[in-house]
Amino acid sequence: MFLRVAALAALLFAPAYTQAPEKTTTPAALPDAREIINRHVKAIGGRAAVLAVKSMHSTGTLTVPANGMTGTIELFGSAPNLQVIKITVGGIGEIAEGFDGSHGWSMNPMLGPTLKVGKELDQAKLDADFYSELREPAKYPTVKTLDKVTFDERPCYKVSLTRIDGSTDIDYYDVATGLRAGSENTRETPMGTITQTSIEGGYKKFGKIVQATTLTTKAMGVEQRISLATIEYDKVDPGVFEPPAPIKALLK
Amino acid sequence: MKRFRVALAATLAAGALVSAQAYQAAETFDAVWKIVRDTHFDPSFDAAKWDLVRTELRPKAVAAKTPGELRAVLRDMLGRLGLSHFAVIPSSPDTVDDHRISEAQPGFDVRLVGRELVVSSLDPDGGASAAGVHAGWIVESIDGTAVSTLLSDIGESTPPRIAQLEAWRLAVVRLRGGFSSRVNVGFVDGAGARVVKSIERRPERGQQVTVGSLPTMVVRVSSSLKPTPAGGKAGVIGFNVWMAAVDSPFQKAMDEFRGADGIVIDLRGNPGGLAVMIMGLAGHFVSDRAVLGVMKTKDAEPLRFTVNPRLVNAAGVRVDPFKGPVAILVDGMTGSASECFAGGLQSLGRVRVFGQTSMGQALPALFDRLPNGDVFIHAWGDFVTGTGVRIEGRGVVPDEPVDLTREDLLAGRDAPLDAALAWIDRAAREHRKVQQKRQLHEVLLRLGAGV
Repeated sequence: MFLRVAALAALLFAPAYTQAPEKTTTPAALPDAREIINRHVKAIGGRAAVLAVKSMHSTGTLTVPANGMTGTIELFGSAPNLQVIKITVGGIGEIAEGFDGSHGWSMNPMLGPTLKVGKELDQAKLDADFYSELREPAKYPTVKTLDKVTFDERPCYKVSLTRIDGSTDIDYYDVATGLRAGSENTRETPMGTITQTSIEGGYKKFGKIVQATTLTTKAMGVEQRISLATIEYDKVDPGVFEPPAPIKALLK
Repeated sequence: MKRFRVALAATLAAGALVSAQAYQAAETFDAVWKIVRDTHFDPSFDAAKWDLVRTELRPKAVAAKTPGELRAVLRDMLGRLGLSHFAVIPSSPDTVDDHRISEAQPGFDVRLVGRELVVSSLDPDGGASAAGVHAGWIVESIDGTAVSTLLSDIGESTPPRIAQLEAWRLAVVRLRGGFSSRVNVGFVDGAGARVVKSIERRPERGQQVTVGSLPTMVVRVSSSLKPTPAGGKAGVIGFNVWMAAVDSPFQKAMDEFRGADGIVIDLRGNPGGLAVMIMGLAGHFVSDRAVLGVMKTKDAEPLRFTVNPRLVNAAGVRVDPFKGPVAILVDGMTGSASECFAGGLQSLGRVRVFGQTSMGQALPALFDRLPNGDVFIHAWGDFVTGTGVRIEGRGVVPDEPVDLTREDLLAGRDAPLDAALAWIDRAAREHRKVQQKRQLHEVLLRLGAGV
């Protein structure tokens, strides 16, 4: 779910920055991308443990250190692809995004209610995939190990993942631990295309699954940090995923 | 975001109390210099020349003995860019002896009319109204300092846009002060007599909003239904800064005025704020995802300011955006996001703009906290309207220029608003004709189709 948070957070505070990782080895010695992904899945608790969870609720904080913005974040997710993210920022208010299985939407006190359409909707549907941690072939048909690089000051495998909508994400997996260290992705927004780099860390065990609890995202030179304090499973009220009234009015 | 007109923000923060922060001149200078070097949006930005600026000015920054001296060096450096939205907002006084605070104001605004500083509007609940000050009075002195002295640095050749902004800044910095303090202002009244008023400074009315490290802003939204000359009705909505707190009252006003003959949006004196909001408020008047303008940055793809049509009212009921005539009022103190909004809608042909040419300071900006605690506002993009008009350095040029005159102010006339209301009468008639033709056409089509 963390990557989906990154996509939203980038929209809130500014877009697009790419980190140029330092190449450390030749492609010849690289492991297969699926092996790298499977190693990550094993490190976080295994495929069975991930699939055993049907819903998740997380809470945490969000900061933009450079400009002093602070806020809270709350994430709700449920299989197969239900999602709601709420961010409350001082001086701005609550910004929410969701996907209810068919419709992607956002509520923003600076913009008003919005329904996602076109490519943005297609991406929202994929981003809402509750089991995106698994990078399943059905959603990511083509994966390829590109390189071994230094990312976030540690050796990582750089893996490209082509999604079924044709877009490509880049993941970085820590060579030492197998855990995903971060990612780069490009998303369509109402303002245009935004590229962001995210660094994941603070892996902790919640129940049977190890989850990243910190996410630092850089987009267009602005860094924002998300820190999750609580994660709980299978206690989410399905009503949470109902779009708010203004969105329902837009759907009529 | 961002996106605040620099002069206002600097004025708001000008009197912050002395803090015990570390005085880090070299680190602060380096941070400002580096941010500009790394994020300047202009592809023609001369990095080599910027290196020379650093070589020249860094020793002066390091030698600065007070925060004020350091800020003067930073202002010198940023001034060489020749652009808006590059400024440092102080987090402390310039010197330990500087105890200016700016949390309250006397309750009147000023504009430069010719070479005179004139009271342009009054807060009915402010100290100036209580003291009997009227719009149109000439401000001659502030706490014993002659306004002519204050304005002497503004040369005859200074462009009116710049002169207006600078005169306003020079006056407002002196007019503001602590709660319940008083400022002695010398005026020339409507009859030509010289009067001095001791005016109580009172807290600014409105909702206080703080976003990140920026100074606290006070948000005010006003709305009223005004009669037009031909007996129609127009909704007039004004707000003083672009903050998220504006959206809800604006939406409620739109719901109230949905049946009006026209809408007037008063952006006079509105210096900007959160630029992203222009997409949301424009959606009350535009039915499709039209592009108000494009922001070009250094490295990334251009970002589009795309209208988000507002298809739901405050009660959650489906509605259409307002289709009638819309006028926007601007003046020399309309800046930044206000200019992007007015210029963007003007470029779409959706509004008619009245008043005086706006500030011409429309670079989307970010803000960062500096090592010495000050906040650095820096432009990170350039804004051009949907038809390619660059607002920075030009301003939004009204479709119907209406000068601000002392005579109108003294007579209680709001000439730009009057012009907008008269236009709404004409435009509403045309709008109704078009609607009637369309309805007739639809009826004929249905009859023709046998429906």
